[in-house]
Amino acid sequence: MNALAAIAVGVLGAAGIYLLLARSLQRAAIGFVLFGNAVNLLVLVATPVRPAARPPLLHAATPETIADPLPQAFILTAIVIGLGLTAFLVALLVRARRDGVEEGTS
Amino acid sequence: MNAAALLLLPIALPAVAGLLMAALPGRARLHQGLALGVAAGLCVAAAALVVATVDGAVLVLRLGGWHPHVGIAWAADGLAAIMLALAAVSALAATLSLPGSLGLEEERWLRPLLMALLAGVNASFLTADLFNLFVCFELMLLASFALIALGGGRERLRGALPYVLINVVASGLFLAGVGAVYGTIGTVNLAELSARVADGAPPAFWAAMALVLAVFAIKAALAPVFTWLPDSYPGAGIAVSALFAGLLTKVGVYALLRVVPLVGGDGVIQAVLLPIAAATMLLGVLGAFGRDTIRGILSFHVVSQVGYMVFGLALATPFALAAAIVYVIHHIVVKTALFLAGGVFERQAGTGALKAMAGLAHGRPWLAAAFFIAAMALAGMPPFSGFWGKLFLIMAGLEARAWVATGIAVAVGLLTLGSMLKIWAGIAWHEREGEAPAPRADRGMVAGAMLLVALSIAIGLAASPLLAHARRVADQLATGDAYRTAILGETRR
Repeated sequence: MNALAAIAVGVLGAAGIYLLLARSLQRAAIGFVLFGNAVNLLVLVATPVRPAARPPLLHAATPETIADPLPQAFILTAIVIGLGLTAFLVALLVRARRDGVEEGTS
Repeated sequence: MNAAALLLLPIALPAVAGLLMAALPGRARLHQGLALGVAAGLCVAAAALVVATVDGAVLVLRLGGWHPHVGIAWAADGLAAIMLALAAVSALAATLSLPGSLGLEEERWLRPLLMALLAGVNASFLTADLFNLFVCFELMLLASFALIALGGGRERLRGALPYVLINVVASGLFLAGVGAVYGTIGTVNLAELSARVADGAPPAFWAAMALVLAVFAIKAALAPVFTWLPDSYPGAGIAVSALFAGLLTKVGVYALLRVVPLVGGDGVIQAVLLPIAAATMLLGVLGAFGRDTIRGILSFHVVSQVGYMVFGLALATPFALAAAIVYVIHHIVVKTALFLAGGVFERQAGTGALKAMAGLAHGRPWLAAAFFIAAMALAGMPPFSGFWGKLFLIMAGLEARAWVATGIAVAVGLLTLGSMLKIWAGIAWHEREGEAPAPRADRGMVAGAMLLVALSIAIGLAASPLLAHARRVADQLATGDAYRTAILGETRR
């Protein structure tokens, strides 16, 4: 499972970076979404998972068997931040289109 | 209880004010009054924090009362207090310069965004948690994305694109690095991290940490990832680019100053940083010679001066660290002053090109004198603040026997002087053909610039007590014991 996730991180990241480097801002926005997903998945994969981890509910787990809530908190926060950034990029894209800014990026 | 209130103020003040402004849109004078009030309040709060930490105390706030392992802790030590004070002063000068600095239409969101930026910057200075640092960086960055594009047309928007894209990629890398750090060492709290690393860390941790430090280097505009700065800063609104040039890159430098001594690494990190710092100093000033607009030149200088600060960090002695801190203090004040003073002339001439600014200094002798003082301070001429900053760094370099890098620092100082004289010649010495355009009414910007230059002169005169304080702060930074004990609650060794 972990190997599959790691490969997924690689593919998403590669696709995301490739699109981010494209000349069109539209592609850069899509690339950013892919890249953001890759990084979120990376955080999930990089943090150790206990094999028989129980969910952090009151009577379902003891401190020894609990699933680590911190990486999940990180990822949730990152998803929300990514949402905000994506919204901004799209708004920038709309504005750039409207103003006729040429979509070349360095 | 007292400590908690002081630590909350630098974030709560701008956040609440920003929300108020967003709830009452369109009332520019109310916004400006609120913004000035917040800036003044920040100055007072930061001064109180500096006083509270001057004897080496570390004030800690555990958000929600959670233990730092699972929760977020905010800590104010000497360095954080200094950075908060500098941020407050820069914010005050920039807020004074706001009226009329940008196109009127966008002014509606200018000050709320500025408040969000300040909240993010202040929180970055106070946080002791790597992931919280990521969140605060994002807050700061999102506000800065909007601010950098505000007020202009197509040109400004186009200039903002590289800034936005580089920073979102850097943010993604930062998150990846933080996740990997958590995965390899089991904590993202800086104090706990430092304690665990001292007991030995797996090699994967160092790879993750290298990624995180690389992101800080991007934010600080170090070589070779600094090109976004001269590409994007000159195009923004004047007060905005002044605040960014003075403050935003220093957040990256602060992150390096905070994390590198805590993490240690047997000097490998510092050894890598030394040639990077030397290259940054050199490339920054050489790039300045290729520009002919006032803010274009000054932007490259920002890069070069950041190289000086990291040079101090890379020398790895407490005195060098203290010299770097003095340099950061001097630079934030002087750089913001230069951008603002130069901005007045730019507004008068209607363009930033030096060719169009011939003879403008004669119409505004006091401001021109202030600009000259700030320029000489940046170049390192005695008796101004920059002289002391550079002198301490060079002394530290010689003490640490880093001959090549110190030689580069001296040479770059001379080149910076040449570059500043090029600007000065453009403003003051060239003969003007035809009449000069009428000076615009921008008392606020002039006031902001004068305030900062006065502060810079004071720094220059008070170099000795400043160095003494910086040495105390640097010693605290270098050992990290006070920081760890205050946050974790007991000594870990």
